[in-house]
Amino acid sequence: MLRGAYYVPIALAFALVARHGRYLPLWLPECGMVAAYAAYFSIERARFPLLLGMAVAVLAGSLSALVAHYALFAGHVARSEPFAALLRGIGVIVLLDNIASLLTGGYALAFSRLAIPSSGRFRMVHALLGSDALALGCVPLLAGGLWAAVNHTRSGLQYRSVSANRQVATQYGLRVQRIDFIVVVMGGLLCAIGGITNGLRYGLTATMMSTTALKAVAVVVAVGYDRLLTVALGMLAIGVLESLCQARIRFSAFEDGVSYAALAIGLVVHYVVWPWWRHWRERRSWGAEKQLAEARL
Amino acid sequence: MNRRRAVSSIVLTAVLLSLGACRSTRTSGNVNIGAILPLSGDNASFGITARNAYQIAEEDARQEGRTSFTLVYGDSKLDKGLALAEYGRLVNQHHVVGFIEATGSGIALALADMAARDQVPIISAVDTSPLLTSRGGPFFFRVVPSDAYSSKVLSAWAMEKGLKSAVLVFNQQNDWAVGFKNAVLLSYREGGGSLPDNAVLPVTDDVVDFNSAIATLQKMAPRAWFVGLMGRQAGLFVRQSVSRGIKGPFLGVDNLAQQEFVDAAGAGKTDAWFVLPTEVKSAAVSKFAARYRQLFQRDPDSLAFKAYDAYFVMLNAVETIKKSGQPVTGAALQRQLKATNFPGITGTIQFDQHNDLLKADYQRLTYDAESQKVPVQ
Repeated sequence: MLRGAYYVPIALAFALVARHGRYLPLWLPECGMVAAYAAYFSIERARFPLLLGMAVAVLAGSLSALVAHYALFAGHVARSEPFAALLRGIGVIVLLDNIASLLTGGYALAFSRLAIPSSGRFRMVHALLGSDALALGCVPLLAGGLWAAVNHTRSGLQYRSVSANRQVATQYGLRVQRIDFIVVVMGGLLCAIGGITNGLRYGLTATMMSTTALKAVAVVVAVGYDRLLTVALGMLAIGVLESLCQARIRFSAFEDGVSYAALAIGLVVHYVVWPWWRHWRERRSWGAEKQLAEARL
Repeated sequence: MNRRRAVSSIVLTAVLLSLGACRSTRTSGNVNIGAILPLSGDNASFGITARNAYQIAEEDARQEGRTSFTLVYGDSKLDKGLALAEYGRLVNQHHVVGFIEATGSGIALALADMAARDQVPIISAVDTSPLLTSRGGPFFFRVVPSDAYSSKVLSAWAMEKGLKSAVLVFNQQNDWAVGFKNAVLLSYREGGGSLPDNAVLPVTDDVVDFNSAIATLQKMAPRAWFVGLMGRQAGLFVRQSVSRGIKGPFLGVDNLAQQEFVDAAGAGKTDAWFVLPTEVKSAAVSKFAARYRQLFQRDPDSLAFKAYDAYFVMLNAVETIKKSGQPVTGAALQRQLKATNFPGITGTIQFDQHNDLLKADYQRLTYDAESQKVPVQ
């Protein structure tokens, strides 16, 4: 479950922006990579104080999301062009990965100053590190907080309205541009948290977010982008399944396939099993009503 | 309008023709040598290290007033498909007559047949897969010893220390790691060690969390842990093992000598034991290391030294052919490389009948707390 906890902020950000823009924002997790590298360069290289360095990193993540959105994706969102946005997203991933690779000479990096101690009072239980506690703590906080904000606040209602139909929301006088801004900043912020916690645990590479992004796509597509708590639970479940796979020598080689299997199963359940089940139940209840009516007659 | 368009077309054609002429003037008379390296992507550190070493080698050759060759790079991203495309581009468009690197054992295996067909020799400073001994073909050479040899040395070390039961984790998507696994299984079992099939755990490229694998392998109470992972992945495996209270030792070869391993392993690096070809202590080695640090703000690893030697092995071959008045062709280069007897900074380089390094001495190493490599007795 711990492994899944590291994926959750990215998946939540992905679901939030995907629902809003009605496309797969594959590029968004890269903002986590930008934030992690910003944390590394400000804290480890420029020797900023830790809090300032973290603030710079979170700001960099959110800012990169804003720049990418307004420069490349805002038009596609307004015109409902998911495929063009997806293609641009792939371009952004390649560009950012190459920039990060050039900046570091292709070397993987690791935090040393920022590393949360893995012993003493920071060690919760055996093999649970400080960064693990941080990632686990973030799950209920972020998933619960975001779910409550989206489903039980006035701003959340506005977000849902804009996501459902931008034109109607505009006609009803909602400030769509403001909601766009908030959603993208929130997405960048969540990715920044995900990127930094990932970097703390697994180090930094230019492609550190690529695999996580694909897992987020798998879960969000499988369970639906409007079910934030299910998305979080789905990511935790992916983590559990991957760990179980890895623990069995026969299956360890298929660990990476778990998320795609989840996607396939989710799609089959969503588009085949569930409609069939509903149809069967309707027919059954219709048959029972018919029998009852015949008996009365 | 039409007249303006016609003039523009003429000017454009003239510019393109002059560019083409410039290119042919630049390359004519020169010998072009290729290097297929991962210069971008996740494994770029290998390619960039090698390129840095070639840069120093080129400067040294220039200072010594030696005939040089034009080095043409191809970026493979450590992907076989891209490497094959880059090979085609370098051979057909740039007319390279030899390569001083094709990083990645799998890539070298994929290129071996084409190199033999085109008669273009390849030297490698990094490909250590034992498969290359039998399947590398007559045009593949390497200045680095095969893992078949280094794993024997590693296994002998483990047995000598009484580490008679072991487990192994390896990246099944990496050809080097698969070769390393096979070589270790053979040599460790031959030496009397217990390494059953259910103690060999494959993982994939993207795995960064090894906790379940470690827990599974830990149940077997091994005395030693063979690590068939590269750089950062190996470092993460060791760090996560150490955080579970495992003290290793973690056994490897040059995969544990990479800076990325040191960065990712954290305090766990002191539990890593690895064997490397013995570094020659000489003024040339110190000079190269100092120059590398000065230019690139990083310590050179074993790949940098070997890449430097590979450059000069190829340069010697080119010079000898030129001096004899023959044209520098791939076939001539291959014949010349066969007869190599070059005193490099990593030792004397000669090739055996399979074009493997004829002789290699090893040193046993670990890290101290300051990340310095220290010998182990």
